[in-house]
Amino acid sequence: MSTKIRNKVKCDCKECDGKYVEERTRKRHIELERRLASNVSGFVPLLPNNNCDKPAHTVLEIDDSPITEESSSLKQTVEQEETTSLDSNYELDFATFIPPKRRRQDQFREPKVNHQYENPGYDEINNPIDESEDDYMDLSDNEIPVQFAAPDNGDSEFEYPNTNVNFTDSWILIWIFKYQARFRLSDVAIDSLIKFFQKVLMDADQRRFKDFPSSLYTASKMLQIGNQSKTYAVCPSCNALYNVTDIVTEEGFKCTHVEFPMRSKVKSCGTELTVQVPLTNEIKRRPKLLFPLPNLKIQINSLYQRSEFKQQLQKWTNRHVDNGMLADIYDGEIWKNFPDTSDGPYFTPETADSHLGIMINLDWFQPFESSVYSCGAIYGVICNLPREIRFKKENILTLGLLPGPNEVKLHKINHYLSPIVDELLEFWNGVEIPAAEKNIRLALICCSNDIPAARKLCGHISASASCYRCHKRANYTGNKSNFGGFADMDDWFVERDLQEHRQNAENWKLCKSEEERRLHVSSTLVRWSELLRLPYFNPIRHLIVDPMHCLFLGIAHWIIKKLWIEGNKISNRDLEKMEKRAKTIQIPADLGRVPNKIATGEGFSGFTADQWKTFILIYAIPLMWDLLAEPDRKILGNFVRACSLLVCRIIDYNTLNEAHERLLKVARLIEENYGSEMITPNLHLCLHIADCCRDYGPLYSFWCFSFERMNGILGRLLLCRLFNHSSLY
Amino acid sequence: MRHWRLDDLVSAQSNNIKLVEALKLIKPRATSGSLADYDNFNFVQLYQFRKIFFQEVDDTIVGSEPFPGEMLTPCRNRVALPDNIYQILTDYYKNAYELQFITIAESISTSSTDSIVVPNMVDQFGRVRISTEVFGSTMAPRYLKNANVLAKFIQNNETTDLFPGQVQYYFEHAIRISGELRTHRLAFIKWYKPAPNQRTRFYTSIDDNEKSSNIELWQNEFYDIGRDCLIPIHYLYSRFVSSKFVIGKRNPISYNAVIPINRQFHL
Repeated sequence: MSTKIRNKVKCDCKECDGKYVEERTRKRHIELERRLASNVSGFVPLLPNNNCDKPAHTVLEIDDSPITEESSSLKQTVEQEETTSLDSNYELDFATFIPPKRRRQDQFREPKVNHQYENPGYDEINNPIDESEDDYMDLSDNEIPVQFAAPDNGDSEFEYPNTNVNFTDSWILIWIFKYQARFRLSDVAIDSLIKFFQKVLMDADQRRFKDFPSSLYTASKMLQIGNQSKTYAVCPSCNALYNVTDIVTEEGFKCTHVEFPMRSKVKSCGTELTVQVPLTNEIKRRPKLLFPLPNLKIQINSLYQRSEFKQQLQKWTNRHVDNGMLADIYDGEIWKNFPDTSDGPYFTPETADSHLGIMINLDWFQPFESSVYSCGAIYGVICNLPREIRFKKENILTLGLLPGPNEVKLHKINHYLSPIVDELLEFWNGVEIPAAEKNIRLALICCSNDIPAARKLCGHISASASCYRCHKRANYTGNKSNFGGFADMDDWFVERDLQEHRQNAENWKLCKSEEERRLHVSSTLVRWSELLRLPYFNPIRHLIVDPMHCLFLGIAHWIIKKLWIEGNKISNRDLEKMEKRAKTIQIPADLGRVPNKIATGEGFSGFTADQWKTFILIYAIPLMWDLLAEPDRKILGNFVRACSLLVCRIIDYNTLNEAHERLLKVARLIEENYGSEMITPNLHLCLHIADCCRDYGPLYSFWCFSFERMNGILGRLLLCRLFNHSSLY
Repeated sequence: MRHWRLDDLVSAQSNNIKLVEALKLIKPRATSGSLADYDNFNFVQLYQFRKIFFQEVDDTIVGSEPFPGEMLTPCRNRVALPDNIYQILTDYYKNAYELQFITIAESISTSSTDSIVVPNMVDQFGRVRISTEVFGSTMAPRYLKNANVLAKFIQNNETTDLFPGQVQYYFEHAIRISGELRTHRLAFIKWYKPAPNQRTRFYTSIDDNEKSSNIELWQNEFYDIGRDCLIPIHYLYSRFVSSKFVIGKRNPISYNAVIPINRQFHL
């Protein structure tokens, strides 16, 4: 094993502020600080020459305050104003003595800080001394090490792109790019289109169009359409993030992520992060995996640049719906009572266009048909926008694209979430958006996912082991778990405690081995999630049960296929009969036809969620009523009724209660007639749908149907651009 | 990110007429399912429409109120109504306005001056779009599947009930009432006859609770044409899917199963 853990020393310069960095870096910083100090006050402090054997904190005493102190002690007449002006001079002086090229590197390529060493227990950890358990506990009380953090990427240098293009006929190019987006053409296609345009235009007027670009490359350069997203390199085995430049410049860079920093023997991941690409005259290194992080500020900024955007944000304030009616997310409890930092409501009519609430969705999808490759995407939807435009693709924010080829395992998703959460935290405090001309704040108010993604996102235990909203735990019979037992419902149908969850999640980070984590999760049902860093986030209430997956893909599928077809309640003859009947039912074209091959294969093969919805709401009863016996009729009748009540666009509390009662009845009937082992997690989770409606309004405002379409769009983009991340969105 | 950058560029050049015109060429076509239709209406109008549609207003709806939508093709302009329908239309106005309306034929025989003569000419339409939904009629055979509608009626005993029917056609009728020209938009509907008893009607109910039945069974025949056959299009409650439903093994009777489609109404 040639795991190279390089010596880190503490650097006290302004940039690093006490972080542990590489020796070389500190040397550079010291040099910088010294020159700076001499520039500022003419005072050159005594600096030891990069003596790294000395304890780091005694080496450097140069910070803003030390400088001012000492300078004022030298020059007694320095006034307060001058000391304050130092700060602003800082950047300026900084620039004066470093060659431009070098400066850029210094700011952007701030060396990766190995965050495991940030905790005060670093020294102890590095010394292989056996320590008692208690010492660790003491340590944990003081500070919990940061386990998931993205490397700092020089964010301060970020600037909003300029919209002035220095070419009068740029509108032709803009149109071509819009044309590409509209018809989803490949880059090759519009490259030849641009070339053709150039030929035509040159033929028409040589002088006027002499600047017209001759290829896609020059065109996108001219319009500055490039890669504006941050891109991180990812370790393929542990998913830790690195700056691309860092790992490419150094030969054989291996992953330095330490999975269990609390352990006495530090063992880093050590996976190679780069592959070598032979070019004609050199060999280049390229990261194996990339994680593009689209810039949220740019996205928000360009939304605000639309003239009508602010009005659309305010639309929700001038609507009033009768009491007891739920028509949109604004009528739900969360929107009405979302607390601001100062205990007042966060969403008020006065702040309608600056306090945004976003709902996020994480989903994995398969962009390629013939190969197994799944990548994930995190979308955000601005809930302040009216429902009809909220889910349009031009209004959906892309927060991140998780690379494949497989879904991220459990807590490792936190590596990806970390930079996203950083950004969200910044937005919670308010970010100045130039196009809006004010501070914009953003709160994450809802997560709408399918169950596996939901568990990963918020750090709950697997759905088959326990419910994350209430105290219900699965019963085990042999290897199989079930959620049967409704008699003691009052005992477990209680919302989980948020404080307890947060505490348990914090404790998870202290686990020292895989085994310990496993035990922790199975006893407390919780693991750490980066989203918990958002102070307002409630991983229990803000994580909704998705009705699309739960009702249609889950329960409908389960009842018909598992209970009835596999339980021989519906025979193959019956299926053929149903198929015949289904053909006679003519439904309006805008509903979406259900495939009429019900009997082929195993029956109902490959129904989508939408088809299940249509089947349940329209076909189920006329097709199946007389084929079923009494208890099954009741199950079907109750379930169809509950679904048709829930899918209404306007729903009131009474219908909500009725739907809940009926879903409960379905679950109880199934337990009665088929035994408690047939109660799946979905049958339990559907009991929480009514609660979600009270929090977020009717299903239309939060279900995943609206997001799934985005995956299709993104998937096709992936296909035609052959996985070029930079032009993805 | 490319897409955000492009948006920036487009909004920066929003006063460039050439670009605006060119972008119109690649604008996505509007779909009927768009909820944005409500945008043209202010809240009060929309709210009023919703109340009508839920039968929550006390005033009589005459059919000239605004509605979010439009009449669609096929259409026939200025056609004369058949006599029996013409008579019903006159009766309809009598009920709606509680004024004296007479047909042209009657106006020749009587000489009273305070009664209003109902003209016989209407514009006939095969379809109507109300917000996001298109309702068809038998006049447009291609859209026959959309011609089945449910409408709410207030019964004599003050309860409202849903009745299924088949729209024959829609029409716009303009009439001058107290000096003001009003256009009424009405639907001519044939209503289905109910099943012989409540048990058959709510055949699929569970626990003997009528409300728990998801579909209702009606006969396959229509009522005779009468005064109720004309209703304002505001009263159209929703569409339904009709399907054959057979009851009984020995001597099976087939009924018309009414499966309501949830209205895509949104406010």
